[in-house]
Amino acid sequence: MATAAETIALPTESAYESGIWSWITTVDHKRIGTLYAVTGFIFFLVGGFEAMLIRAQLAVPNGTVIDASLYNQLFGMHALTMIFLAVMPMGAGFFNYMIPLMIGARDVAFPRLNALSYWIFLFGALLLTSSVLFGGGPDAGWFAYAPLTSEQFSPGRNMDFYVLGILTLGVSSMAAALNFAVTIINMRAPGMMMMRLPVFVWMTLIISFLLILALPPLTVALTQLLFDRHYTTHFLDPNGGGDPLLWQHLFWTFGHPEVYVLILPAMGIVSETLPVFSKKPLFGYRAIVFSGIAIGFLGWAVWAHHMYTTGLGPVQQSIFAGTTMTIGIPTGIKIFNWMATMYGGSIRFTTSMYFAVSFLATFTIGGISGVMHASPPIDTQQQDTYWVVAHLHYVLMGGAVMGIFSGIYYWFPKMTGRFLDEGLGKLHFWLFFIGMNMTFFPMHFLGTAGMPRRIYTYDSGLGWDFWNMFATIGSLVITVALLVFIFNFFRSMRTEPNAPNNPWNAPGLEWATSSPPPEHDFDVIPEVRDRDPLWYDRDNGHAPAEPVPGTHIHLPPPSYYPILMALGTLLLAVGPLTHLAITALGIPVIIYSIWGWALEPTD
Amino acid sequence: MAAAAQIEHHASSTGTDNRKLLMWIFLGSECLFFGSLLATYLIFKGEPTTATNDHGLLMIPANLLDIPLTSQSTFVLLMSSLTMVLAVYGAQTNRLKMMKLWLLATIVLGLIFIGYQVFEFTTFGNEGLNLSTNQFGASFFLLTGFHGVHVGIGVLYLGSLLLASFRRTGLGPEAGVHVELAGLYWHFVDIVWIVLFTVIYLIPA
Amino acid sequence: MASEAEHQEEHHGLQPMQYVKIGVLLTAITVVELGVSYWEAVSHMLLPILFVLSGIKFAIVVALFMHLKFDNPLFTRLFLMSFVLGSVVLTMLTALFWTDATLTN
Repeated sequence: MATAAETIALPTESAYESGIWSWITTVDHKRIGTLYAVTGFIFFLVGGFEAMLIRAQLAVPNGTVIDASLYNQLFGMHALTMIFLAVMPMGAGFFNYMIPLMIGARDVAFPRLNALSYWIFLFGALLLTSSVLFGGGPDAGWFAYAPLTSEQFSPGRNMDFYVLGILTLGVSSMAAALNFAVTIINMRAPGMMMMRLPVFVWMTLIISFLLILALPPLTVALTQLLFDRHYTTHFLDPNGGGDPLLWQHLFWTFGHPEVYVLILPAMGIVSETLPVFSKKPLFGYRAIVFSGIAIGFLGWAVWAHHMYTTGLGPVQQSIFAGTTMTIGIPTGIKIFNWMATMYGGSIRFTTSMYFAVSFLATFTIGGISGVMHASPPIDTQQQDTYWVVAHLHYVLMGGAVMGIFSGIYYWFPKMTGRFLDEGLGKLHFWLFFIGMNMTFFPMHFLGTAGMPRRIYTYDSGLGWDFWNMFATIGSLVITVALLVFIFNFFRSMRTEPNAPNNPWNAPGLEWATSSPPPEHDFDVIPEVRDRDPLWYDRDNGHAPAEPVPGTHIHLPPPSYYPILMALGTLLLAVGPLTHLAITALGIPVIIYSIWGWALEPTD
Repeated sequence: MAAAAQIEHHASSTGTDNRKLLMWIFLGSECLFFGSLLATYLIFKGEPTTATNDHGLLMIPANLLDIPLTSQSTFVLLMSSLTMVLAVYGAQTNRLKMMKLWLLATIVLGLIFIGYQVFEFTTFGNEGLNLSTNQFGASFFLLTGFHGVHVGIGVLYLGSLLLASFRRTGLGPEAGVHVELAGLYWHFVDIVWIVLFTVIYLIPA
Repeated sequence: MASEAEHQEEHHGLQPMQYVKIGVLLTAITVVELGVSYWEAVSHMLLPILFVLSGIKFAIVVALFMHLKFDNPLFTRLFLMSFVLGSVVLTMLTALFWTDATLTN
């Protein structure tokens, strides 16, 4: 019997080489996904290191590990790193690798734009992180409230790195979001109707629109901050007729949809892994999808709940309290549907499943503390205390990161052809779970006991000593957990890649091709008849389609214009920090890249 | 051999062109961008100011804005939308001379509009209104400035298409799509101006 | 090339003269807007009148010049969703400031 490779004309081997140049010029979604995932994980470790320094400083009262100025940079950078350089890119790693496979496409709608997104992300990440070497990192928190960020109160370049770094990263996210929106809407395989899409794909579609619509207000806010700092405007300066709250409103108009951007992908991931390891289809698919859409829309109406203590007034507070409490409903619907998925199923206790089940518990704890925040009177007590730190880490560590690890253990065989060791995986899980709860649960107590956020030290005798030390020990446990994972990763990468197409007996299309997939993803674009295609085919005796003899598979050729254009973008951003001549240099680089990009052949 | 080989056909799930879909979604994001700038302008609207110019007049819209002049530039931009649509028509019906002519016309009108803006900004500067004068100055220049930049980018975009159309292969078999995409961007910049003109100029301070 | 003739007939929408007429209409509406803004008799109703007139111009350009009326309804839905969402959120934002009793100066 002729193999697929003999009956169809596959792309020539030279297009899928190894070597640095092939990675630099790649437009293959799988490679770009890998780049995102690895870079994101490295920055996750960087953010973790920043956190460890924070915990070291706070372990005892009147700590002397780091001084106030460095502490301010650390907690600002920790949040920026984790949000923009770790969680979002690791999510992007999965979007890139999996979405085309899940919808039965061969790549995203705009492969070169995809590469551009990655390179701009990398350069923006390096720009933002390099701030610590060039005068200091942003030291006004990731939310950068005015007027602390004005030139008067932040005279160095720290906040300029913030503005230019985030503007750069925003371009990357915008391009990626546009790309994925078009891909999911327009490049589905025949029969892949919207209500047959995997939930992970739905969540990616929703966050793409969230980013597309939420980044512009942030851009405007950042521009106003930049102009206030350097071009004598007074948007945010009360002494010139401005209003610091304008920053807060614009920032949180972005910032609240942003937190849904952080959590929805993880919700998508557990919607994939829970059914597989319960050997049951997802319960309440429609409810979960429509809840996700509802969260996407409602998320626009809640932003001022971050501002209850700014003097909004009772009417405004009540409105936002109402909308914020309402948004807990679709989230709760999802939780119950996931639990119903497991109920009556035949549970397989894989590491991926452990992380997914933990997600349900730890994310819910974060959700509950969040609902408490929704009430203005309660929040007046909790705002700016460690209660908020507890809440956000339960939803982000207990939610987003747990979901990401569930995805890593699940999709690792598909991406590498190897398995992560289950024994080490469970050790990683338990250490991570225990460490996470040890670190962040006590922060509820600290918050209630009045410990404020963003203080570099505290006096003894306030009743905070014990839990701070406890939390620091917990963070050490997390560190050990991550070391176990890293060890597991490298050890697994040394084994032979011999994973089958569908080791977990999962239903999705990504499992219909080899592990890892060939460059062209599928020998034959599948025809989809059901929401769980592979289970449907198995239950109805459908064999995979045979490739049509003589078919040419066309793949976009590699290109160096994306990285060149990213370089031009970086030059644009670096100029204002150094010499505007560098910005001027970036312009011809970008124009040249655009022309080359537009004119280069794509067949 | 060549006859038997078939390029695998990539039909789009909705029947729409990926690039057009991209442009429409992008224009959606631009609504939020200009909306945020406009909201800032409106938030500071009516903020009392003590800043006066050399003639002792308060630096507020009522004293500074030259509506007859800006009506001319508004008319110019409106006409550029008409010329743009004619360029798209030419590209889509393979009337390449028509396409080039109306592309050029659109570019010229766009440049004239920018000229009007530069004149207005300079006049205001001479009157003493700049970014730091008062909140009107800051939000006005940011809002109309970004709009002007968008027009400028549009002019470069159209200019690139015009230049490329003089190559041996011109804009290729998909000239219609390329010019249509540029047209979508250009018209959007025009409708932003429709809103801006009404809010900033026609509604008195 | 032969295939170009096929591309010619793909054009949907209007003919050049119709576009010119629309251009004239848009100009006329602009002239009306200008006149109304100077007409003191209706100055207390200026806002809604201008809102409606600008809205009509906006709709004409989007639906006809940008072909939205003749294109796939998906484009209309996506653009409208963004436009409505943006308008609502930013109206809320502006209203928050206009009703803010604590806003000094």
